[in-house]
Parts: sequence; structure tokens; C-alpha cells
Amino acid sequence: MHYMFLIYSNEKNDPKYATQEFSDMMEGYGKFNQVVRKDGSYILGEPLESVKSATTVRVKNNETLVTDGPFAETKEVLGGFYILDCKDLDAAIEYAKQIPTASYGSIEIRPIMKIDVPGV
Amino acid sequence: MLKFDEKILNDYWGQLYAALLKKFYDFQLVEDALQEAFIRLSETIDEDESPKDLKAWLYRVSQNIILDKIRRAANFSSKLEDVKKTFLLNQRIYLSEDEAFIDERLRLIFTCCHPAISFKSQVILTLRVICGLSIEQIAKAFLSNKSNIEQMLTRAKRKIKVANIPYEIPNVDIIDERTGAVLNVIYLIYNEGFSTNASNKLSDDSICQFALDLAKMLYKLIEAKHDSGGLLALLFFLESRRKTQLNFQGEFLTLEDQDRSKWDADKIKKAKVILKDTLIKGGGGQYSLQAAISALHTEAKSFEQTDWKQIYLLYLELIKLNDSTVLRLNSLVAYSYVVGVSVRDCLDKMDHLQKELKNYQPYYAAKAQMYERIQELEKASKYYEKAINLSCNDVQKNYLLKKLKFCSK
Repeated sequence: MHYMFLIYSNEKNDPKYATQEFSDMMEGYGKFNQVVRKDGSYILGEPLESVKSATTVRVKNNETLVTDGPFAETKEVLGGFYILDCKDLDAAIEYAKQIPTASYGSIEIRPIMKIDVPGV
Repeated sequence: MLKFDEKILNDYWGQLYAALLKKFYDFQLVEDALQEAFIRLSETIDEDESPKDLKAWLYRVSQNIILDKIRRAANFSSKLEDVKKTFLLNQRIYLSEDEAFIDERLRLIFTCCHPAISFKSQVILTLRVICGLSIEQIAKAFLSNKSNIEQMLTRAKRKIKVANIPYEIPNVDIIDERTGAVLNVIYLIYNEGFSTNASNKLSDDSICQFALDLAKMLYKLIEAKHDSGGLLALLFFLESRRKTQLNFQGEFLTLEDQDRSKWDADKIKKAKVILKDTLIKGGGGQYSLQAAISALHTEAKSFEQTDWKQIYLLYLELIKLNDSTVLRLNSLVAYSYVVGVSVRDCLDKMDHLQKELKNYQPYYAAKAQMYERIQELEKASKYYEKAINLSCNDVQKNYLLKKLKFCSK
């Protein structure tokens, strides 16, 4: 079953570039990427550019509203994601534990909806 | 007209639920079928005809109901897997008694107490699914209403289904912490019964019994590991004096005032055996420590003769495991009874806890009692009033009112 792992953190707490924490984090992600590929559970995963680069679009009464920034100001912001194929929630939790950001941010696990299309 | 023992039916409920889940992992499907089967059973009784082997009968009927539903759903689904599944399931409907009833309740309780389900929902789910309590009974125990409980149950069952929480006994590396979660659920259930929120009675026999049964079941199925023995011992200790909390007039008695000769010696003995066994096997944890504290109370001939120093040290160990302001409060209360300790010092230390324990009723009750001990009756009255305002229990309230009256003289 497919799960999406939403990686959230307060950008203030993210390890700063060129520090030891930063290279530890990168190493952690490198390891994680290896694990999920070796396990065959990796489907997709990407880091996202800073929330400062976000653009939000809303359409109301046929009018399109485009604004600078995320959909809402939140303490923790989305920094990246993975889509992994996991046997069950416990397996997904085991993966989430290994994502480096889990130690200073939060990893939200969401099951991906399976839509029953007849004849498919 | 035959009347089946309600207790037996309750036992069967959990076992049947677990066995059926093993085959058809869908909480709602299983529960609806089981309910229906129990209704049909009661109809059978009314017709003066009783199935010989109750459990197997209920299992067979539930299974047929589920298969029926699946078959009907399969008719609308063109997915090959669904049809195949139905066909395979149809093959062996009647399992032997042994096959069907290998106790699956351990898997079931771990699933109900999965951390991905909110704690309150874990408690409610456990009571409904394993103990077979009705929604009305659960609502009453938690001072809630039927629709709230139903909503929480539905949400929890959906979460299990949609997020695919597995029907498994946790792996070796996490089973310790997951068992801890189960113990917390059982302990909460017991506490609900011990001094129940329902206003007129101090404690509820059946809720406590359910918790005790759950603790026994867990202890047996998990082979006494992961502090399951600690919890069972603690519950036996608490059971030994639960009934002595009320005197003849139905008034509340504190640990100090309880008639220790009325404490159930048989339960105390059982508790000690289990606790000793747990500690020897090295499986102690927070519940073993709490049980040890209880044990010290049972060994003291009176409140004054209690080994308060040792109890205080045990609280310190508890705090090392799981620091909390409530534990710190309890440790200070115990410490205040140690000979030579200044009660006022303890009261001063308790002030630091006020912020976090602002709405915690026992905090005010404890302070009130301590001020009374050092004859500061004005302060004692103030705190008794606060404790009364926060109390949800009439019997407890009456006791505190009496104390307030005495201090206000």
C-alpha cells in the first residue's frame, strides 16, 4: 500500500548549510534513500525549495487569486516528501523514524487513497 | 427459558471478535456480524431451543453473515481478486474448535491500543471490542453521551482500515513500548472504575472487573513479560482495598481511616506472588514500582507505621522512569509523612507545582490535608474549598465538605 510521508519542520531549526549538523543530515538522507531503494519501497521523493518560494492559487467566483507564500502561515512548513510502498502502517512508521527531519521536525504519514475503478 | 451467563457471553465476545478479525480483517464488518449473531442467539433462547456449543455456534453464524455480505459486495465488483477471495473463503467454513479459537486476543489488544489511535479512542475501543461493553455502558463510565462514543468508535475503526494498521503482535524491538501503551489503557480503565466519575457511587464493580480480566489475559498471553506482572499485581493490591473506601453509611474513607483488617488478604497474597515473580524475572517497570508502593501499605499495620521513607524512594525511582508533576506531588506527600520531615517544607516545594497542576483536584486536596496537619486551618479551608469545586464525585465531595466544616469551626 502506498503512503505519502510529508516532511515538516520549522525552517529556523533546519541545519544550516556548511555545518556539521548539515552534513550529518545529508548523510542521513543519503542512507535513507539507499534503504528505500534497496527495499524496493521507493516510489518518489523530493526535497522542496524553501517556503519563501511558494505561490498559492485560489479561484473564487471565477476570479483567480494568486498570492506570494504558503496557503497559511504555520510554525512548521512542508520541506519535502516521499511516496513509499509499505506493507502496513507499522512498516511506514519504521521508515518515518529514519527520515533525518523526524529528529527535529515532524513526519506526517498519509495513506494514499485507492480508488476502485470498475473494470480496471 | 434459558439465560446465558452474561460474563461468559462477554468473554466470548472478545475471543470471537479476535478470531473473526483474523479471517476478515475489518472491524466494522466483524462487529456488525457479531452483534447480529448475538441477537439471533437471544431469539433462539426465546424459542426454547439452545445451541449446544455456544461459542462455535456464534462463530459459525457470524461467519455466514460476513460471507453473505462479501458475496453481495462481490456481485457488484468486477475485480477478480474479490471474487477469488470469496470463493476461497467459502471452501472451509467450519473450522475445528482448536483452529478457530487459538486465542487471538493478544493481537486484538495490541491493535486496539495502537499509538496511531488517540488514547481515549484506544480505551473505548478496547472496552467495546474486547470486553464487549455496550456503547451506553461506555458512555456512562466516561460521563459522555452515546453519540460521542459512537463517533469515536467509528473514527477509530476507520483509521485502522484506511491507514492500514496491521493486525499483528508488535515486533521484538518495539513490543516493550507497545505493551506499555496497553498497560496504560488497562490502568486507566481500572481507575475509572476505582473511583468512578458517575456521581453517586464511589467505585464501579464491573469496570474494575473488566480491567482486572484484561490484565490477567495480557499477563497470561504475553507470558508475564514487559511489566504485565507489575500491572496485574498493582490491580490486585488496589482491588484488595477498593471496597474499604466506603464505610457503612456510604461515606468516603481515606487510606488513613480504612479498616485494614478488611483488606482482602487473598488478593494481597496473589499480588505479592506476582510482584515477586516479576521482580525476580527482571521485568520491572513503572507498574512494578507502583505495586511495590502498594505492597508497603499492605505491610504496615497502620498508616503511621508505614515505611514512608521507602515509599518516597520508590517514587523517586518512578520519577526517574517517567517524570511528571503528578508523581512529584505524590512523592512530596509521601515524604511529608517521614518522621522528622518538616511538613511546611514539603508544602513550599509543592508551590512550585501549582502552575502545572492548576486544575488537578488531588493537588488541592493534598495541600488542604497538609495544612490541616500543621494546624493552619484557614489555609486548609481555602484549599478544601478549591478541592470541592473541582470534584466530580458526590461521595468524595461529601467527605471534603465534612473536612471543610471541621476546619472552619
